[in-house]
Order: sequence, then C-alpha cells, then structure tokens
Amino acid sequence: MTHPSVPLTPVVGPAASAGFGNHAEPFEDGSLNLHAHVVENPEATFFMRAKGDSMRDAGIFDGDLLVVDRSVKPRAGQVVVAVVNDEFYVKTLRREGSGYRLASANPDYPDIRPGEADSVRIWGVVRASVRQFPA
Amino acid sequence: MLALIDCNNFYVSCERIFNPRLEGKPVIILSSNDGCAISRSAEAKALGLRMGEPWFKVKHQARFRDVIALSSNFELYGEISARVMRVLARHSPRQEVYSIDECFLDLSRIEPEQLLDYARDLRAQVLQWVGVPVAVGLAPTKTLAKLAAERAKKEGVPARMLADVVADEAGQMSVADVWGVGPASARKLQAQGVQTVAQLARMPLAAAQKLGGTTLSRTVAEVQGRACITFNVDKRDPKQVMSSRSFGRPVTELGTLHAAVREFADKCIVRMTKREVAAKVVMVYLVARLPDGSRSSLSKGHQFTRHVSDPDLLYAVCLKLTTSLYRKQLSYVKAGVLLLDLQTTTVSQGSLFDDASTNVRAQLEAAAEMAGVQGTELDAESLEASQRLLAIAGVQPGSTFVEDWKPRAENRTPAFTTSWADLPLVKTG
Repeated sequence: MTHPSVPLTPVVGPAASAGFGNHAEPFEDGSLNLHAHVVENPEATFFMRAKGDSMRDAGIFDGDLLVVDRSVKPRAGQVVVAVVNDEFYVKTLRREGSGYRLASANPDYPDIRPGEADSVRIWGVVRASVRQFPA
Repeated sequence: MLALIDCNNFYVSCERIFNPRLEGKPVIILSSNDGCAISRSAEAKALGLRMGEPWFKVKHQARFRDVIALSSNFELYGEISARVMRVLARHSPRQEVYSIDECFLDLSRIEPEQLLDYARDLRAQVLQWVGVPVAVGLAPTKTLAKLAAERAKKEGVPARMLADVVADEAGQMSVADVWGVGPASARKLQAQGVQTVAQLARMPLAAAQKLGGTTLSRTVAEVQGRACITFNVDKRDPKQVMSSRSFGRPVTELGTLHAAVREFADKCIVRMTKREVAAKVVMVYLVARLPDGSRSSLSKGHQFTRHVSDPDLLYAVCLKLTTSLYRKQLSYVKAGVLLLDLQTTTVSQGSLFDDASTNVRAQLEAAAEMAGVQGTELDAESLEASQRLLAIAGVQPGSTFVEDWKPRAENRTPAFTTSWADLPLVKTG
C-alpha cells in the first residue's frame, strides 16, 4: 500500500528486534512451526473469526480462524477483510468496471457493491484460514 | 540525525483498530476503576476534555454528551505497542523504546535530504501494518527530536525536522514544554526571563548549571543541537517486566494470592531497579480453573499518573488489583505481575510525600490513585485531608488494607490480540 520514494530497506531482520522471540524460524529441534509457516509478517498479522456462511464456497465457514495480513497489497481475486460502513466483512475482492466489488461465495448471499454514500476500505488480506474439528 | 516516533493518542488509536465506528468521534480511555481520562481522541480534546479529568465529575455535562468512554484495556495496548516497536526496530540498528508509545531511532544512515520522505514513509508503514498513526520528530538530539514530534502533532504533519531551534517556529514554545525541564526548573527559568525555547538555547551552559544542575545544562546543550543524552539500548525486552508462576496446587484463599502476587511484584521490582527503569502501568493477571475444567484468564491493570519505582506503592496497587479480580468460588492455578510503559529513572519524578512514613504514604497514594484523584490534587492536601482520603479507602492509618474494595462497572473492549476467545468477529455476509 505504500510507494516509498526511498526504499524502506530493513537494516535488521525481525529476529534481531527485541520482543517475542524468533518466530520466523522452525522450532529449535527442527520441528515444523505452523505459526511461522502461516504468519509471514507477525507485526502486521492479526487473527479474526469468521461469522456466517456467505463465503462457504470459498472454503471459509462459520467459526473459522482467519489469518489477516495488513501489509499485503490487495489484488482482485484475493479474500480480504474490508470495513464497510464501520463493519468488518470478509469477502473476495473482484473487479467491476473501473472499480471493485466485494463478492460473496454463496449464491444465497448478494455481493457488496458500495455506493457513493458508503464508506469502504480494505483492512487486510486473508492469507490463510484455520478450521478446527471437534476432538 | 535521530528520530522520535510518538504514537498519536495511543490508547484511543489502539481501540480504533478494531472498532472503526470510533473514528472521527470523541473517545476517551478511563483509568482503572473508571476514574480519569488517560487518553483522548482529537475530537474529545476539541470538546475541552482535559487529561486526567475525573470522569464521574464531568460526564453529565451537555458538551460531553457524545463522548464515548472506554475502560483501559492494557492487554491490548501492550501488545499493539510491541508490534509498533518491532516494526520500527527494522529501520535502525539502534532503537530505544522510551515508553509504551514512544521510541527513539538512530537514523544516521539515512541521507539528510531523504530524511523527511523516509519519516513520512515510516509513518505510512506503521499506520498500514499496525493501524496506529504516529508523528515523527527528526533532529540532531533527543531533546530536539521530542520537540519536533510535538510540533508535528500540533501542525498536523506526519514528520517534522528541527535542527536550529532559534530560527524555527518551535523556538516560540514555552520552556516548560521542553523534555528535561520540570515545573520547578521552568519556574526558575521564567523568573530569570527565560520563557521560550529560543531563549533557553541562548542560555550559557554555566548559567544553566547554576540554575538547574547537570540536568538543565545537559538539556540546554541538547536544545543547542549538541547530543549529550545517549541511547539506552537494552538487548532484553525493553517494553515490559514480567514475573509469573503456575501454582503447585490450586489456590482459593485471597491471602495466599496476595502473598504470591507480592513475590512476583518483588521480582519485577528487582529487575526494574537493575535496569534503572520506572513503570507507568502495572497489571495483575490470574488464571482460574473453572468447575468444568477449562481455564479462564483475567487481568486488570492500573496506570499511574507518572512513572513509579516505589516498591511499597507498587505492592499496594498490586494487592488492590488482586483483590478486585478475586472471586471466592474459583480456584487459581497461576498468577503474574506485569509492568508496562517503562522509562529510565533519570527522568522520573520523586514521590509526592516526603515526610509521611513509607507504608502510610504508599497506601495514601494507592488509595488516591485508585479513587481517581489526580497527583496535583494530592500535592495541595493537608495532613487532615490525607486522613480523609484514607477513610474513603476504608483504611485505618497504620493498618493493612481493607480488602473489600469494589470496582466500578467497566466498559472494557475484548482482548482482541491476546485471547483466542476475544478475537474480532468478521461477518461473511
């Protein structure tokens, strides 16, 4: 989302900054680390919970955990979290003419086509979702 | 050149990340026990709401009718702060986290003519990645960088450079606004005709030394553009100090919890003393095992009116927080104390009471803090009034705390980023 005139080249990687440990690496014993695999940019990644089933055909179900990255530049075709009139929605971003619409993935639900009176912004891009089954 | 990055209305900004309807509205965050405003949005400031205003006294005024008042959510603020600091850490090999919402960055590797653009992009990155708006001050010294950041906020610009304070509009600011000039020094300076920052910059160092000691002469040198205050780069987590432990057996008695919390507070204080920092926010958290076997984590925090390092004050507040969290029917399996918003003690002020005995003084301050009384009000209190305060808190001077202090109703948002049960909900349709 930013187009820096001066490239923001990080001098030090996340591993060197103080805080919650080195999450980009596998565990010390080499075991696979799901968190590191799914969370590309920890500072910009937030977890949210999906409610409802209008994104069912995209594989997102009620209660699923969404891994949302605010540092990814949104592109048509991606599943995004958008704020429409102060409410959070998870939808697929699709082109419509010279603009965009927020598409549902369930024939029973309409797409969101924001009008002139609506306020819309993309809050983040969904990189992954996590579904848990009863143990 | 170095930068001071300062988050705008930090606690309010954190709440706005997950509550878009708070944007553009007058919002305030209340201290623990819903006492005073500790953070205000620009819209709330515009209504004339002052920092530290005891909310219960003014909430019924017509002009504050639309103000949204939220209880402090330190779990959220601490976590968001950590994100901001980690983003900023990527941009410099030298970072000093100064408080929960401010940090210094050494940007000497950036070409001077590119600094403003770099700072603007830095702000854009923090805003996009974490959702927190910040102001960036750029200057050759820490003291000037702090002034520059303040100017940036006042002028409504993302970044502001300040190299020659005499030639700049910032020179017209009051000496009292300068970091390192306390109220006492400000009064002395003003009495000598040094009212503005520009005048302060022209003050001879020897005169400054005579008036306010090394602190003031160092500040004057810094305002003149000569860096004297070094970076405090702490390799360990600079943002918080924590001590916690799981219990060997479930605890049901408040007295036992108090003893445990006091032990954790002790450990935190030792670490704070070693690192020469004082804390502004203290949090106590308890993990209870519910009858159905699941675990529930509860926390409560308190923000002091200033950074504190007085152990007795910290104990007193920790014990109060523990009492207010405690429920008789539950059994507790873990507890902890967390200190946030740390600052090096060279700039912290002393305690308010110098003559009262340590324990009574600490109890007084804790009682006053929790009752939502401002620090300045305490200054003016006579001993008689102090006794009244103790009576309000239900404490007989010299006795231990009465432990039935009841918290007021809270309007706290969920722990969006620190609790799986509290994740923000997103509608699919």
